[in-house]
Amino acid sequence: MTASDPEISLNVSRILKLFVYSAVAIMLLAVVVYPFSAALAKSTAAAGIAVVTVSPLAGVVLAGVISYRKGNRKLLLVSIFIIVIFIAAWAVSA
Amino acid sequence: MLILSLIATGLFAGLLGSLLGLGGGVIIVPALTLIFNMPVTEAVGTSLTAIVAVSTIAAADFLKSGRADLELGMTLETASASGALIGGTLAGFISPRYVYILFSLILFLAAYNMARPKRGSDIDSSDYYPVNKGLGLTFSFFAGNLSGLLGVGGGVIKVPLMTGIMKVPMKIATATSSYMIGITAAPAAIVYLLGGHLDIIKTSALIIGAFAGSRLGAALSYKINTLALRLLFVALILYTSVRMILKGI
Repeated sequence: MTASDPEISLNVSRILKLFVYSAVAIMLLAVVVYPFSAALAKSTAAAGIAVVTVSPLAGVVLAGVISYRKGNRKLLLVSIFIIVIFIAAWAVSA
Repeated sequence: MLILSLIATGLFAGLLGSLLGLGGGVIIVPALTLIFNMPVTEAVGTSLTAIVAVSTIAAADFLKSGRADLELGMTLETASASGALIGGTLAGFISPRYVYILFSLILFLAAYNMARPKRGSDIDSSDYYPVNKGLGLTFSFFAGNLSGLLGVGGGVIKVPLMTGIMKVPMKIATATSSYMIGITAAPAAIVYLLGGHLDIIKTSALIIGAFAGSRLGAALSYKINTLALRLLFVALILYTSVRMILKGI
């Protein structure tokens, strides 16, 4: 066994970077805005944190979809299970 | 001033975590509780959110280079993320003093892992097959549980689990653990975030610092001899764990 399908890994890597870099940029904006408008800063920061917390999920979903298209149903099932855990986390706290 | 101090703390944690191969939780939680006097529940939630950002970006690099085993990581995450969700939910019902004591035990474990000599030459890491998957899933569940409860990534359990029990080569195990840590921490971070345990501005400041520190650490890791840093950090961890125990009793 070798470490994963390179195509899936590369695509997951790209989406993870996209999400995290976007989230950090949003949070940086929030911290800069904070001295001028606390309310605006808080809503901006909340958006940034939301993007960060769902970033691993984006990678999991993408990995599941690509592997399903390549005929690997096991990884799709695994990704569905992880999605369910995230939904449960949201449901437990809401 | 507080925001700048948090950015600096995040920077330090991210830099050190990246140089020493840690998620950063073992630095962030003690710093927030002992220096900033933040309640332990808020510190754990803040740490988990920062860990998601730092380990996800590190995982992106490991996936691109082909070192992280995506399939193994996702399979173990079914147990680990479930454990983290339960740990995060239980945290609200457990007395903070037990959290301090448990955390100090994790710090001792991290110090031991860091101080002991690394075994195995790890020559051939391209051809392997993970064994004992059932045991791997069970331990992953407990690693996730501790992660959700204590705000650490759980790498101190996941890496020895993969190398020792599942016979995965060290290089693959550390990279896969890094990928797993983000997925483990995220559901628990959601629980803390939606439960109102986080100050989102402070958390954002810490994440910005940790993110910058981890990127800097990744760039410097090829140029710095980490042995002296590692030994210094073991001493720091032991000192911190004693202070955490004293805060718990």
